Amino acid sequence: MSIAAAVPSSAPNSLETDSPPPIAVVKELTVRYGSRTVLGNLSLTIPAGCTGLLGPNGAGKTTLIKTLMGFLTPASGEALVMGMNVATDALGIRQRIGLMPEQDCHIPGMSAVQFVAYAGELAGMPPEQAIRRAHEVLEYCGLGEARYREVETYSTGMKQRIKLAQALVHGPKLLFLDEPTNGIDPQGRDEMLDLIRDVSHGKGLSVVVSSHLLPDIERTCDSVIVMRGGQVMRQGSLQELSQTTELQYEVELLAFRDGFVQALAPQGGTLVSRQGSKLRLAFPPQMPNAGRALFEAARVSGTQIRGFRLAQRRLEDVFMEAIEQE
Amino acid sequence: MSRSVPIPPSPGIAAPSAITDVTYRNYDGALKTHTFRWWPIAVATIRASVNRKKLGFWIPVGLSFLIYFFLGIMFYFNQNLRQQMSDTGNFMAAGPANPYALSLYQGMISTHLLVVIAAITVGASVIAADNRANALLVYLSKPLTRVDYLVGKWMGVFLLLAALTLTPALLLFLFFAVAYNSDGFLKENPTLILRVIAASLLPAAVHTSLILGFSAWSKTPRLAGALYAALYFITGILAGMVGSVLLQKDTENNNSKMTAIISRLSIDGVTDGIGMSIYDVTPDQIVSRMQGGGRRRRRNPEAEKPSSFTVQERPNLPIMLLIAGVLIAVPLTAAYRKVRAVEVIRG
Repeated sequence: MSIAAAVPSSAPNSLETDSPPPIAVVKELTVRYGSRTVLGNLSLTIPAGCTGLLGPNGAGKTTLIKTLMGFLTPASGEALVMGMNVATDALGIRQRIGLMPEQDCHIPGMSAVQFVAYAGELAGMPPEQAIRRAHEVLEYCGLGEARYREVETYSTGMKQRIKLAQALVHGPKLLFLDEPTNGIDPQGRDEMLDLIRDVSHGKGLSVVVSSHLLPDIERTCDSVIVMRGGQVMRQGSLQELSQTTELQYEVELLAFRDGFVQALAPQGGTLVSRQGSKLRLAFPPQMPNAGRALFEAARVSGTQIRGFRLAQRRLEDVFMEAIEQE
Repeated sequence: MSRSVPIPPSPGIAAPSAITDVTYRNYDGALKTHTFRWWPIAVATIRASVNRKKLGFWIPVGLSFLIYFFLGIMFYFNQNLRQQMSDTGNFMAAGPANPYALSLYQGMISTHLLVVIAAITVGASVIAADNRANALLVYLSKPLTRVDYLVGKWMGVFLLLAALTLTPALLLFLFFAVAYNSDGFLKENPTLILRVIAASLLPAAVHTSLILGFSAWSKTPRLAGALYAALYFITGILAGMVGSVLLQKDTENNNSKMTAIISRLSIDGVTDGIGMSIYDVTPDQIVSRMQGGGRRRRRNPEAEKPSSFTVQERPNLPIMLLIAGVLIAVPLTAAYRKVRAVEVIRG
């Protein structure tokens, strides 16, 4: 799926256009496990909306979430979530946060509705409100039919949904989703991504999705943070990151001819990649009329252009560049 | 708050209701203060034990009531028969001891094993099952501290065990109050109700703390229960053996204070020792009642002398309280160290 397709087609609501304050700000944060530094002098800003945390295993994504939840004490630095310091106001933060952990977790011996209502009560909701809200949230997460079954009997996909339900029950303003599509079949994955997309847009709720599945991030998130080795390698909105520094075109020819690329060379055009008759070509950014140059090269080389469009970098390109960067 | 305009139902179409609206709505309703966030945990712990029809809990509860009922019956018959059988003496009486307090103390020590069984049934899985199901991540991702979590779990188990120790004792007390108030029961024993409460809650508190400590360090409820039972029985046997050896060295009826303490360095020993002080009874009064009371003493004066293999000293209360404090504090501290949202492997 291209980034262009992943950008929301519907107009964002007024809250989003007014560029709301960031949901979390991390300044020179260092977190250590014993002598091992997991996050070293990390600084980043998580904007409101849906943000993807990308990175290979061991990049520090989960550690960052744990630190922002107040589970880990930073060795140095500062982290603010919704204006509250994680070191001093962890309870206040957790009151306004929902966590969907990576691993299976539930309260043994409870049905889904009991479990979600109990999670609401733990967050301070009165029991009658908690049970009403549990029914609502379970319906929303697609577990309405199975709400009276014990959670132990649920399939993996249903367990993922109930983790989301218990994270949503107390009406958090920020949701951390750690690998939300782990172990789900393709249809379930689609539905889960739709849920994440829905809940994170226009509901007054910001979402941070930690994943190593790039298509999931492309489909749900507006901005991305790429981490490696406890450091932020790239950060920005998907639109920003997908922009190239040079002018690139994706061109599809009827049949590839070497002469086509050679004819572009005097104009500054270079071949970036080629897949059969599909080419990605780069031009100097200041080039005024690349389209004309393409047609001229086709005429000279005796080939035919079937189509061309401005190329954008895929998230995979951004990710690979970021993690291969020294 | 804006009110939604009611939409008239169309023919053949169900009227929209809250339950059919499956869109996400935020919750900005009332929230309780943080002070009693542990209470839902305690209630859930109690519900889980009560709903599941755990025989390991309900049978000890039933037996506990039965024991106190039996003690009440014995007391009643003894009091009623005493006047008619003046020559036989009062087998429930034991020298200068308060017979009411002695009966209540007897009830307390008779239910020790029942408390242990109930504690294993109810408490062994309380944190161990959460460890296995990663439930701590659910609890601690909510605005709860580790102390809230532990207080909730502790209170849940404690209240269940208190139902076993305190309720039947209070019923026996109530029986005394109703049946013997004309004899001046309440007037002569104004603090007995408080002593009943203290003496009944102490074993519940000790056993709750111990089982919670074992449960927190295990992912298997059975293992937690087995370790706790092992501690209970091994300390009991060891204290009994060491106490016997020390007693043989002491002179008859002149046991040293140290022997009185060492022979009670077990879970039951500590609660018994404190119970003696609370009810103001002595070991010889208890032994005397166990051996047949005044009736046997009258027939055989030698029986008044308790066995030299029995500790005669009442153990020092401050030391016993200190040991009980350790038995409560150490497992809870251990549990606090273990209860975490995330396992941090330091390396």
